[in-house]
Amino acid sequence: MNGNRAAAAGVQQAAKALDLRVSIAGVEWKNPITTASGTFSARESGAFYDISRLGAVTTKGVAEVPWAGNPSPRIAETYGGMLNSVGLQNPGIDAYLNEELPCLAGFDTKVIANVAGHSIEEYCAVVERLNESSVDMLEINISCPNVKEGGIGFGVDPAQAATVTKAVKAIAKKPVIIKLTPNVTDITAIAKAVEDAGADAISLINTLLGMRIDARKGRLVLANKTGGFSGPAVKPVALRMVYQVRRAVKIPIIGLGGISCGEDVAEFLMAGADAVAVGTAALTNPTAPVDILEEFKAYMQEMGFATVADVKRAFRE
Amino acid sequence: MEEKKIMMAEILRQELLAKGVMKLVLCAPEAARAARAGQFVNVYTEDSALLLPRPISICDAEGDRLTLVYGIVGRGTQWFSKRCAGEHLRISTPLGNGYDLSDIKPGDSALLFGGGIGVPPMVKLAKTLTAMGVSVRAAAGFRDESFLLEELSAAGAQTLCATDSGREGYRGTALSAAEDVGWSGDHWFACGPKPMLAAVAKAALACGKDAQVSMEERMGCGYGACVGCTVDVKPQDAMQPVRKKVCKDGPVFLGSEVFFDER
Repeated sequence: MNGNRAAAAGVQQAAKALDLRVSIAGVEWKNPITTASGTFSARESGAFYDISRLGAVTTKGVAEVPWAGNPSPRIAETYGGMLNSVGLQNPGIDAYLNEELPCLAGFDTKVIANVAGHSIEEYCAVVERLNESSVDMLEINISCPNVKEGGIGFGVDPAQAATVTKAVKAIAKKPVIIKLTPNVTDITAIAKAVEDAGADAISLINTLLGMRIDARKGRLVLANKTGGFSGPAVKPVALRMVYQVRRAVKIPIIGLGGISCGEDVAEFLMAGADAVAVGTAALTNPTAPVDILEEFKAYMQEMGFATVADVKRAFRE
Repeated sequence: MEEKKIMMAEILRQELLAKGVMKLVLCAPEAARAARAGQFVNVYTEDSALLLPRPISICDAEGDRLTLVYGIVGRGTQWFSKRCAGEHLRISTPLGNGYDLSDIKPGDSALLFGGGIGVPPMVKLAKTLTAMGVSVRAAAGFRDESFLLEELSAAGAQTLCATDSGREGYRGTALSAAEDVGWSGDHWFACGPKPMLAAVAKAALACGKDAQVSMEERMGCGYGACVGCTVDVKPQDAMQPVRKKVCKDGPVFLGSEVFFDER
């Protein structure tokens, strides 16, 4: 009886002892989990769970002016994943500052604003507005496969990726994360280029370029023809790229791509990520970001890990 | 903030209504109590290859029971169709705006148009309107085989049926059948394929009415986070068309606001 009680107390102590904090480019998150941009909305996601439970939230890509995005259909399911060709539809920085950000005001979490643009000037215009806002970090999206000019155009060439990074860093008053595309031959070359250009952190991967055909109709499923491939099916690719980039750069890495459970988080941390983002899983299950956090905590307890650093240290090649 | 949930619902009954059309009765007290006409629930498969929820319109909600009628159109709905009484399905609480009934008074008349798998939400709508003291006429169109006609009548609607093939009821569309018999109404509602919604919206405008039409689009999350399912609408007070989310801002829009001929 006493033994049981002591054991129970021990478990409780272990629960208390978990220290999930991580520091990403000088910003302390209470745990290493954020949302992937484009899969989170303060209002809609907040209807399902308490946003304050996450280390950070990453909001949907915002541009200088409203973007209409691509025509419908924009969504197609694939084996263990999905394609989207939303094309960064967003209401523009004014609406973001006046409507989305106030929805996040009462929550105890860090806010990462994902920034979209067609040109360096457009990225910088948004960053200037965000400088004066309450957001904690900026994530520069140079990797959206659904936007031709800008977007992925900057993300596939080390020199251009560096140019964007330098321009943004020159004016940004918040830490800058550069989000990379996997649709390149050598992702380490891009990662090194943005690190050299002053990026404070890197997030990867954005979606992989994909396509689907409706064999009964003989037509492409997406109106935009191609779309970004995400979901559990892409996880091995994402993990491999995080692993490669970790060995190429020193700056913090936010890993993402198909994370669906607590052990997936651990895999990314072991591969070299300092934090992770949950994306498509939140479309399958609206509470996925917090469910995955709880699973990760249970995994840490089961494994006897007290800190995120312990998880990373447990990886041996 | 408005609270939404994902929950497990027990299957009480599942039966074939017509070729490729299933009726599913769930025990889902929270969802059933919250349900309004024109809303939908997300239904999730447990096949890990099929990630996305299937949005399915609410056909009826009574006490703890939620009735969904859906077409078997792909692998997800095929998976649902194989589930039996006693099994559980993951569903969301009701989503979307539903039909706006705030302007309706007792003694008004309503004209409902359902096309194919757009007929099911008309049952709940007819029931709700009848309970409000509205006289309801429902025109239901099908390709070949009808379903839910008895349920529509039981919901208090004067019902007529049209089929493309002429196998049952009028040969032709639900709208042409209703026009043939000279039906009209103070309030127009529709759910069905896009060409039908376009035709109903146009016919309503010709009568000086604005139909409420329920749109469908490929959805990602089904709760407003991913902005995957959009429809171009032009609100009366806006200069430019805007892309609205079908799952969150809809699925019901005013016929006068929707751009039907975009593609």
